[in-house]
Amino acid sequence: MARTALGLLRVALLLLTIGVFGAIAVTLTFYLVAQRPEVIEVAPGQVIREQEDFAPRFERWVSGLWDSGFGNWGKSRSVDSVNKELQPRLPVTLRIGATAWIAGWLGGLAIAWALVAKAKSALTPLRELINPLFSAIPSLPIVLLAFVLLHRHTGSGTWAAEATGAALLTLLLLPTSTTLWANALQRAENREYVRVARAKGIHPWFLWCRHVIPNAIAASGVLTQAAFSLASLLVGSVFIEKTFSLGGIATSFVEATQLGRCELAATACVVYFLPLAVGVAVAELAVVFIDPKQVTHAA
Amino acid sequence: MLRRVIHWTSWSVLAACILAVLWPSAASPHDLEFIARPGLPPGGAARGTTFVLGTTRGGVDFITATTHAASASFQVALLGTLAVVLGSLIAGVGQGLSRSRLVTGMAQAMTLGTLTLPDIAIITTAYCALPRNCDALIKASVVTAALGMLWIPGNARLIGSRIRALRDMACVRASWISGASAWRVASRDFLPLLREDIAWLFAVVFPKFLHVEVGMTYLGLEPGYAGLGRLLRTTYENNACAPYVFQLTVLSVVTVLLAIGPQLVLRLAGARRGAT
Repeated sequence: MARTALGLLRVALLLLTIGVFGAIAVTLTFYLVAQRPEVIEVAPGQVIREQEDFAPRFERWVSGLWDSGFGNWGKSRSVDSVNKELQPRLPVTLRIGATAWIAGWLGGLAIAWALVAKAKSALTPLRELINPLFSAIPSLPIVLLAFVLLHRHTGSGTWAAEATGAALLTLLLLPTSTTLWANALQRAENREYVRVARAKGIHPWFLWCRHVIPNAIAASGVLTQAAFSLASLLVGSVFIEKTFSLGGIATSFVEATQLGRCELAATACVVYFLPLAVGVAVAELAVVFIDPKQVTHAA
Repeated sequence: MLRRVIHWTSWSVLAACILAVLWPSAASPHDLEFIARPGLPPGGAARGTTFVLGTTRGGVDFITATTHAASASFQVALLGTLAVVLGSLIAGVGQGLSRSRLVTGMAQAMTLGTLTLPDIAIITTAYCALPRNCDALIKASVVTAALGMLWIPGNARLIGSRIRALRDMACVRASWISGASAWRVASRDFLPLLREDIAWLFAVVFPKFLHVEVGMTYLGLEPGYAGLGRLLRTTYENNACAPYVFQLTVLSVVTVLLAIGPQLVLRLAGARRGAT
């Protein structure tokens, strides 16, 4: 009972915090972009600039969103429909981000398992040298190097470019994810109950799947880190979309901020915010309801 | 013996790179105003001079342009990093010394909230909000402030937890009991113990700042000065020509080296401590 109440309080506070910060980010984006006059193309090569006050424009956008049950993300004088503008672009960004995220964390788990189980001596250089250096490498120059070395001759906008981009982001994420998984697995593997289970002769596969990995996930904060890594993947996907001309959301967002298209910019901000918010919420909730320490404290 | 030679060679190379970044004129073979034929390949000659790595699209010697661009990016990233490190230290010490649950709860909420914010969207919008002809220093300051708001809470929380661990140490407790002021405790007891944390924080924040500085310019958001981002973008836009492909590769490598520079310094310093 106490656990449920405490858990619900934490969930409510978490959702409130995320909601407040999300609202601030979207409103701020809308406000700042509204300070620029909107560039409207009236005829080929002929543009006019018009500026509308922030308050009525924002009110119109929010009420439109509310009335349509968050189905219609608005329009402006230069954009007929934000939905139509973003719909073909969203899958590109999602494919790159999701592929890299899943491959990075699952690949990290596989490598970490192999290192912890078979090659513990490799963990020290991974922690002390490879991970810090790889974490400091910015994604942009790596994307450019890949463009020069691999993709420049194969054309742009193809699935190969998307795969290259996702592979690069995975590569940059792997050292961090491997280190975090390795730390968590090693800590869980050294626990008494694992040693007892091993001494009893439980099959290694069962031991890892039933005891080591779930406890590593619950007690080490890997899930939270995985959620936070989405932010760096989103940044990386921006450069991949631009460099390989993939036509994702990034190009549209940058254009919208430069041309005063508040509705489009705010919607893109929501698109960038949502995966992070959902990831952080899921990670925190998982910790609240799975971590044995939380349960003990509540009791 | 070999280890010592490798160690001192590494330090010398690193020191030369830092000097080149701090005083680009001293490390450049030509002046920035010395304009030759645009797009010369490596080893190409014009106006009676040989250009070892060729010239840029603007006709400037590539080494000179790269050194100056790296210097500009380095300085902006350095100032931003110092601001974030200082802000994190002040907020972190405040959090660490406070025993209030409200402060701890607020710090947790701020950390969680800022981590959910999409920094790429915030930074892009902050860049665009400023007029095109805005002073470069103002633009850099606004972006630094925006990034500071995003990054300080998380880092301050880490420093805060470290301070909470340190404040119960015997030496710190002895200082408090003997009537030392808060400033004295902070400067004499905390700061020496936090030296490694500060160095680590610097090495983590600096590459992020550099990435933002270079990345925003690459995306077409002009900062008003010729940094590595602008050079990367102009080179990328001309990627069909062979010299520019070579130059894009060199620029990417320079950006990576600049970003991992603080980590390399930390590794070398750590190796030295380990050896002694």
